Amino acid sequence: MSRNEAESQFDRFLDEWSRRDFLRGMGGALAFAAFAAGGIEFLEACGGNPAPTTNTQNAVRGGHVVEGQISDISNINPIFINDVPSSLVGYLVYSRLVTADGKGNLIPDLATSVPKVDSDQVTYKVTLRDAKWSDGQPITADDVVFTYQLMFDPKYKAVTSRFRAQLEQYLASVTAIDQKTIVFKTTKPYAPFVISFMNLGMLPKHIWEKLQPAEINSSTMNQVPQVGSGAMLPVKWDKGSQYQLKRNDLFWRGKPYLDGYVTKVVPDAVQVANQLKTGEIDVGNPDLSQWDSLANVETINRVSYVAPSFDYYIQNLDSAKTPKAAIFGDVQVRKALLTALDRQKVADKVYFGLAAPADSSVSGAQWVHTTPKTQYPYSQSKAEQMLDAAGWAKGADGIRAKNGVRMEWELRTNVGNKVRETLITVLADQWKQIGANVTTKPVQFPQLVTQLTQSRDFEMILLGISEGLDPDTTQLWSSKSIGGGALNGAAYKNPKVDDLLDQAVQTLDREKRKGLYQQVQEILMEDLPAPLVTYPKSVWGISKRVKNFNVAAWNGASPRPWFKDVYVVDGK
Amino acid sequence: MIDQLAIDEIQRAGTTSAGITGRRAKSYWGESWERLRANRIGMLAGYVILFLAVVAILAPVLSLLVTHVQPDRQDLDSQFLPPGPQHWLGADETGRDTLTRLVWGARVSLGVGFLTVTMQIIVGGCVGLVAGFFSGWVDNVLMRIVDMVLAIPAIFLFILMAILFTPNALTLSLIIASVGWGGVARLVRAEVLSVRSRDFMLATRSLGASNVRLMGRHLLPNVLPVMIVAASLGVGAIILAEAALDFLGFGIHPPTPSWGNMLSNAQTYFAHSTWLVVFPGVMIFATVLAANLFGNAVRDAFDPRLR
Amino acid sequence: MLAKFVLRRALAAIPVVVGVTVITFFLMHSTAGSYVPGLALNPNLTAKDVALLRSQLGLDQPLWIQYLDWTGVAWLVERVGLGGLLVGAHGDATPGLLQLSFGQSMVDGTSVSSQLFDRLPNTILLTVTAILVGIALSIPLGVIGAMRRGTRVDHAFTTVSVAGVAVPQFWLGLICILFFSVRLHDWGLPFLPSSGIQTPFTGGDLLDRLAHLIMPATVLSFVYLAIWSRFTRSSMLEVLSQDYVRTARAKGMGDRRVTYVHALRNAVIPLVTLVGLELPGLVSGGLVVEAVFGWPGIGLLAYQRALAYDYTMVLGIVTFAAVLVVVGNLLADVLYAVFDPRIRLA
Repeated sequence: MSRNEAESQFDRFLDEWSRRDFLRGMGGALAFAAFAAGGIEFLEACGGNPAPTTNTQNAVRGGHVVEGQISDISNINPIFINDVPSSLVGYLVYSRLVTADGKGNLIPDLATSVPKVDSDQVTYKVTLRDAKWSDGQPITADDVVFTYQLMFDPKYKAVTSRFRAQLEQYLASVTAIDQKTIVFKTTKPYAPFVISFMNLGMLPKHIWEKLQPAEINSSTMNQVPQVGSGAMLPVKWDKGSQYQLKRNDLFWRGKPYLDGYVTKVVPDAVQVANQLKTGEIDVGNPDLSQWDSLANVETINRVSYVAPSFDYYIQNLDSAKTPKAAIFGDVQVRKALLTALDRQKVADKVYFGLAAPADSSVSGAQWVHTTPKTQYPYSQSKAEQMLDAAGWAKGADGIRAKNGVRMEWELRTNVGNKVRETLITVLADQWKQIGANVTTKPVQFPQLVTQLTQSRDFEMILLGISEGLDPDTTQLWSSKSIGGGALNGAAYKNPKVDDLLDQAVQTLDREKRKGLYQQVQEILMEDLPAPLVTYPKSVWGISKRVKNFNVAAWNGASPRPWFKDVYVVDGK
Repeated sequence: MIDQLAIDEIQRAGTTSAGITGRRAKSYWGESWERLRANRIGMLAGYVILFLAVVAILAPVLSLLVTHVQPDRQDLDSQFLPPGPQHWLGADETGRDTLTRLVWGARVSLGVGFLTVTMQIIVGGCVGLVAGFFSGWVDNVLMRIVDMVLAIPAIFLFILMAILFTPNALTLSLIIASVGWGGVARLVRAEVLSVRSRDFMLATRSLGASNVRLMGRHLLPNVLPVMIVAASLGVGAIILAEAALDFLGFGIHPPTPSWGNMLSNAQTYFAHSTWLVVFPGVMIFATVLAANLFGNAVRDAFDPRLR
Repeated sequence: MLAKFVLRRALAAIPVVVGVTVITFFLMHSTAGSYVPGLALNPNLTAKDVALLRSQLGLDQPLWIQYLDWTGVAWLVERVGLGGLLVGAHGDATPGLLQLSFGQSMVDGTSVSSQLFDRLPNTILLTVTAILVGIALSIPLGVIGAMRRGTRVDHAFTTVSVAGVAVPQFWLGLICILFFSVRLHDWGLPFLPSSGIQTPFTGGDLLDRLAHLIMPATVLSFVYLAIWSRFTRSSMLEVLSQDYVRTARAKGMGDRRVTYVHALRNAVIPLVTLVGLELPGLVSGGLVVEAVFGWPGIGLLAYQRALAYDYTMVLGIVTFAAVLVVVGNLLADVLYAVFDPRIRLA
């Protein structure tokens, strides 16, 4: 390729990857040389999982893509978004200040660069690039300030945004300095601020300010807005059926190649696989059990990667809530229970090979992930020895007991997730082999959430967590997060962990933060209040006629900064 | 559903209740039995149900002596094994034996079917008897309650109740019964209304019989055929309802086997492990078909209007 | 007399409707009451967020207050100035059932009636088509069975109709999808679409919509088929043995004419009453079929929102369906009374 072409490709490469640590270390010239020498693979290898690439050399304009989703959108207004399909469409319609690339690094969206905190550790200055709303109006600082006011200003208290409580706690003020500059001040140093609160779509003030606060909650613009700033714009929403979008010619990244895009509601993941085969949809997440059957379908590419999520089981350690805490209270028992689980086999058989056994308390896709020194390789005999040593002797019926407490409990998970429902029966069976009598019970999801986060009247629960971009896990492990809707259902209390988590949230230096979270991971692997079992993979079927559909760990359903370059080879 | 079947056939067959001779109960039953026995298809269906019930009761024996495994015994290495010497009807996604689960599943499916039908008949029958017999405000209140329950579409009621708690066999029977008793109550009440105006009732009352005696000794036997018909036609519908609830996620969950949950679980694996779908499907089909055929035969034999 | 009858029946229907609202409301709410509908398990959400949202949705008020709110009684009470009676309420009451408002969805803020009435036509389309298919199939099955009574054809038809009702609906639907969509596509043949009401972008025309409709409607029609075909058969048999049929034959009318023109018409008319019996169940009957085929009707909506504990939406749909049933029965009673004077006097 010519030098010019190479340079523009390299710029795009940097855009997509942001200036990573290793690039800085290497020196830009060296990096470029490696790139020009065809060394993308080399650089990718340095950075970890290979990122999908964008190639628009043969891009065709026109055509549309149909993506299958299990559920319909509910609300695509950025201040209300709470589910995956809404998030997917929401990002396509509303640009954000910053967004993330496939590896979880922040990249600028409407902001010209990812904001860095000032020396006072609480001030962030954001400069907007030149961009327009789809109705031609410029996107200004007023729009940004207005969007945040909806979420935390007392004047808009009637607006039921789920960010209100957090913003009221962390955001001190947001002010427009001029047409293109905004200054954010936090109440105290808060490392997740940019990732958590600038990763939101912006609303057009000139459209929304006409509504009364209470009207905002129920406005139809929450589902089908007239004005947006993303790659696509809403055309029509057929409730329960499909959501149709069209190209936004004024998109600041450039005109997208596709004419149109639809998310189509498909009854379940098995049908997603069926419809990928028949061509009724172009893209979708097939059920894990159908993965093999898609291998030989000529029209489909399969993509899978480790997603930022994990499946784990929570042991109730609160003896005030359940007598079973007497079983789980002993750390040796907890270690034995984990040792008794053949997690590799589970990953192979229950997830059909589409998962990896977990080795820490965060997924492999998180940048703070480390593999703690303490591990618990599967060994049924070792588990039995540990339980014997801990004083849990087997009774005549093969069930262990100690001080009159039998080793039996109920393991719950949520109805509707086939993998997890099978998983609990498998785990129960593996524990039965070592003398624990475990019964299983799937429970409706809302009730399970209430049992975990409010009433905490459960014995053991198996759940899945989708991680956020920021590695802060206060909600999961801090003693502040017990009950009241927070996720520390185990009632795990470790002052050292609390302290580390508090520090980490206020530490703005990336390396220092990483060190703190790694200490947390080491401690959690020793204490095992809620051991992780597997890291499930994200699986996709993508029609071969769709190009540049670059889903990756943090660019799965949303955000999709690469979307504008998606095209279909036949232009239809 | 099936209550409709009973209602419409009865309504069509004779719109007036006058003109039916009140025969003595004994020969009526005897004669009805003979008519039933003469219906070969019906009797065959009845035997099938009986056979399945016996097999269900003997499930532990099968586990002990025939297949040597319990229905929840897992073996991940045998995942999806096709029918063969080790697993006569194949193995499912955690290596559990399909044959064993089918037999134990009969316990659950048939058990739910019979238990639910019994509850429906008892509750619906009592309500219908009392309402039809006493009339007046008792009738009004009871029938309004029945109207309320019947106004809410059954499937919605199932969903509302099932999200309350994860059903086991007993609570599932309660849920389904609480929806279906209304139809039985209406049927029984209609029958009571027609029977109680007959001469023999007036005669017995004038002889000084108490209310309870009238209801239990004289009304009930005449109303019983309708209840039996409703029961036999209802079993099939209940087994199907249990399967539908499993599909929607509200029924009985593994590892407890029921034909319904085996069938809906296996749908995912249809492509590569078709037998997992075929066997429970065949069991449900055969049982419901047999129940319906037997129910029709019972109605043909016992319904006094089809004389 | 008729007016009195109608009035009596209508008054009797009111407590039924009230009872329905009470039953559905307390069933729906007597679950884990602290769950906030629509919130995913989010590691970034704090306890304060959850509490705030609960409060904004009014879920932290006492249950009886929430009931009065939803039914619109609270709104009335406040209008007449007695708002102080509503101990434990916060905020102003919004219009409820009595003011013909179903409220807002707790999951996404959309108005319940907009979702309900937007998706209702889909359900009606499905169930009405299923009824039409049921009639279209029942009549030939029943008539031919009657005319060839006792033969193998008769037994075969009876078996088909009885068998159709002996398989679980979801299973039948999934088998149809696997065959008519996936298999036919694999063989390179024209295939039926497997879910939804129309093809995105390229669809929407009549043929496309029919192609999407035909499978779910046929699967749904099997329920009706079993009953109606056997009913038609016995009805046909009864008519064929009537005097006027024999008279027509004696007069020398051709057998076919007798059967197809006179007997058929009279045999089919009672079928209308049976079809009429199905009308109250029109909006809820297709739930399983809607779930299998992703048909965006209100049955599916109620099911999905029930799983998400979207109280207002579920209560709105169930109440709407129940009121339809009550009104439908009321109309049916009135119509019978119009035609049969004996009933009015009862």
